[in-house]
Amino acid sequence: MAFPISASLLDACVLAALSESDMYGYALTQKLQTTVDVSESTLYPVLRRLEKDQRLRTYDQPYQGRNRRYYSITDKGWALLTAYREEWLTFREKMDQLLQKERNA
Amino acid sequence: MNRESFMSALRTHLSGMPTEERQRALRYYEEYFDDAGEENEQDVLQKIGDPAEIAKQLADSAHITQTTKKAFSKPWTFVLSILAAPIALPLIAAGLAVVAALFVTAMALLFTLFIVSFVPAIVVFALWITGIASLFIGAFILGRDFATSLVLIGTGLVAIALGALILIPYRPWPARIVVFVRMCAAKATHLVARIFQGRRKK
Repeated sequence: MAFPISASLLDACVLAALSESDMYGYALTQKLQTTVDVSESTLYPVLRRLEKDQRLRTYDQPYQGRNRRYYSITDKGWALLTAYREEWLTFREKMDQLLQKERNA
Repeated sequence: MNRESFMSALRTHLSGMPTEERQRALRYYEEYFDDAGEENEQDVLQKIGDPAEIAKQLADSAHITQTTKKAFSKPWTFVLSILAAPIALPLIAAGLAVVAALFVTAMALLFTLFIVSFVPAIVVFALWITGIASLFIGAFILGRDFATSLVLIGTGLVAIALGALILIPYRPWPARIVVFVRMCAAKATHLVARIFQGRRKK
């Protein structure tokens, strides 16, 4: 992929994915990988940081004799996601103005 | 590398972290392998990256929130503060002395300014008192000694004028009075003009 994903953009992607439904680590990684190039190694530190900042919370659900840890977005997480969405709109607009000038004209 | 060797490498690299953090991370990756399934183990291992890199990223994000708190545990802070006392106490005393000196200097400056600001007022007061006195005395002896009376009245007027001159640089009060008087005059003329206009209309 030509454009590397920044830390805050990855935060936004994680929050957006979890805003649809709670997910466990593997499923979340699979989902994000359809859009962004995120290796398994980078996602856990991101999740842990967001959890520490109380943007996410975790809960365990039994699955086939073991526990799956689900990640769920909190109110604080929603607030951050909303802020990221607004930020993204202005960022996209500015980028479009810069990159797509010929198409717009 | 297989699942077991990856996990043990990760465990080694996380050994510097608090136990709970290490348990959480290890659990995440165990679970990840479970969910990926045995058939995807090699695929996961290829993409999962270097255990050292994972440990480093975790430590980096943990540092932001934790290092400041964990830099010194409480007993150490206590011991260190006792050890530092011979140096720290004189330093604190010196700092307090500097603050006190600055405070005294500032107060002295303020006091000087206060006194200095009164000097012109005293001079003006003296001039006006003298002026008014000589005016009165001059007027009093007008009939008896005309020449002396004129000199006294003149001196009195000059003294009063000198006092007023000294006041000019100290605008606030005279200026305010002037502004007030002008405002009153303007309002009065405006009022008079309106009264006259009203009469004309009738």
